[in-house]
Amino acid sequence: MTKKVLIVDDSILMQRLYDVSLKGYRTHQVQMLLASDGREALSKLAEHPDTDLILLDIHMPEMSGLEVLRQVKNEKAFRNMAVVLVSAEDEEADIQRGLEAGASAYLVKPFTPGELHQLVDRVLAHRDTVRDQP
Amino acid sequence: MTPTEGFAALLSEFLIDASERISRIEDALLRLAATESAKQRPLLDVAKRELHTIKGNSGMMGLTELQQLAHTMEDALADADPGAVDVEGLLKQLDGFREQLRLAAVGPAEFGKQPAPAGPVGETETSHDIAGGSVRVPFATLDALIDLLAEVVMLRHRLADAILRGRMLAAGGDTATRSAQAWAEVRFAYEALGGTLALVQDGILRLRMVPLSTLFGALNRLVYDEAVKGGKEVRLDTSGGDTPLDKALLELASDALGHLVRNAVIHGVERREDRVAAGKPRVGRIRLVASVTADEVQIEVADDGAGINREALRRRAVERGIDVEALDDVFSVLFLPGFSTRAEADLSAGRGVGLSAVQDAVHRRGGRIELTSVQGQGTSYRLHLPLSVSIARALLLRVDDEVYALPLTAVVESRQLRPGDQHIVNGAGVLKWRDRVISLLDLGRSFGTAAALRDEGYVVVVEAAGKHRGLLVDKISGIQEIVVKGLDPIVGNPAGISGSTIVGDGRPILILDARTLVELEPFVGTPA
Repeated sequence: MTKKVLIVDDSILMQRLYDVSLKGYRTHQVQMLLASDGREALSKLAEHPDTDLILLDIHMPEMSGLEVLRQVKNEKAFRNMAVVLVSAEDEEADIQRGLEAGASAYLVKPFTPGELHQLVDRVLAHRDTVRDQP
Repeated sequence: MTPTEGFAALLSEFLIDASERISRIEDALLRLAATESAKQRPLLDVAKRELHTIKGNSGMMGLTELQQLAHTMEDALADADPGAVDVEGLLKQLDGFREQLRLAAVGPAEFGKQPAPAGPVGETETSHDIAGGSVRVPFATLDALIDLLAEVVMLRHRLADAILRGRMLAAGGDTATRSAQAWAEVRFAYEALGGTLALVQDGILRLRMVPLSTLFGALNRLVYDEAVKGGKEVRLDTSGGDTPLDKALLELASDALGHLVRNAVIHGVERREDRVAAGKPRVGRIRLVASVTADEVQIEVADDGAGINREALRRRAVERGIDVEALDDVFSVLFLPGFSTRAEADLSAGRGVGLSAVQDAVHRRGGRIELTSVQGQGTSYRLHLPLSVSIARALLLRVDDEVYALPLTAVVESRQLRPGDQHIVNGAGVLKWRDRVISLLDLGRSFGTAAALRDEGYVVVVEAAGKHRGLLVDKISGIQEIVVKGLDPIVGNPAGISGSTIVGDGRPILILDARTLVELEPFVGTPA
């Protein structure tokens, strides 16, 4: 089954890196969506309410990743989407805040394609398990 | 430092991205140096954000040295107090960053490839081209070209239909009116096609163009560094940043402008005390103004500094044994190799060798530099460069049975030559032109297609590197836009020829090189 993954990062290069990384992902077929800022992200989600996973960069100008996360979690239609916060910092406080706001996981840059695959596996598996529960 | 497995293919994209971010950081820092502390915060934020992204990206690419450098700089900026930012120190860190990028570029992936040899001013661009340089083209530009292409295809069909109709009408023994109508349609479609093709041509050639503003960041940095070194305050004002420059000339323009701007800061702008004493504003100003005409790009670099002391220059020239009287203008002395009005120890400006080398390089690519100066007020350099190295408007010249193309940028004037106009002096043909005498070059004789000097035809006066020459030809066939192609390296460097092109009927013809033609010895008497 194809999984829809939305990448939210203001760096085009980073988007390319995600693209290259996910090309090697074998567990599921992946359809990749891209957004360069929070507003574009929310608009893409509105177009694709069946998005499974969001890889969300925390440090973006204008709307921060945390802000986008809050809006996603507040929106009923987006409830089933798993959100992974991505950051270049290993700050304990940020991680805590993110998980409390509803993030499924926290990914710290740099990561290898393999590490990304494992994380996506874990997050999607957990989500599917949770969803199957009555 | 090796890129992460799998991401190596993205290395060049990473390098371009990082390099652009570094330019933005540099720009922010330079602005910071000229901004009051209260307004510095946004600039600091820009720099911090770019560094953060570079850190993340280099980490992903596995380039840990770069990641570390970015982290260090990020910390330095985080601790920086507005108003007390060590701009100089940060700029040096950025330079270190650039060096690391350069090493990453020639790293393991490029093992075995020689770095481009540091040739004379403006030469290295060619080696980059051979190595396969590239340009960035916005999708919108490509889409526009594709739209034009669709129109070309459509108009071609229209033309074909009109021709067919015209033929059918003619075959049917038609009346003059309907036939005329049909041919009018053919003419219309043909002209519309021509118009659209001209737009396509223009669009494609523009793909080679980069905006001049590409160079402004480095020039700003140059002004800052030299001003700091010289204990002066100087500001660079630029305009005409979207003036298009052929990418092949980018390096030449960069070197030339770098020299001129450096000269302006070091020799032009006076020290603070001297400026204030002369009633000038404390901060020296260098204006860089660019514009474009049909055939060339003009860039002026003007300072409001001390100007050039003509008398001192003349005296210095005479001291060096230079025949000042023979020159059109004493300022041209400044373009002689090894000449400098300051002590030879002035290393910054390259001991005055710079201007001469720059001018040579500029001439070699078909451009020129002009200099004007008013003592006490300032000096202005004007750099002229061809708009495109790929296409040029040229005069078509017929000599004996050959046709040659001569780029219009070199042409000063053309006129008829009647028997008796030409005089033979010391065995060479000369002509009275304006108030001087110029030597003539019979192209047929020089290129071996004629045995004798012609005594009538046309003279085309060309100018290159400050010299004039009259080219003797049989006929001038008109002006045409030509696509310039270099000569096959196997042909070598024949004097007087700079390339070849193909004219309307598919024939290849040679392009004349004014620069070497003004130096060529005329062939008189029996050829060798």
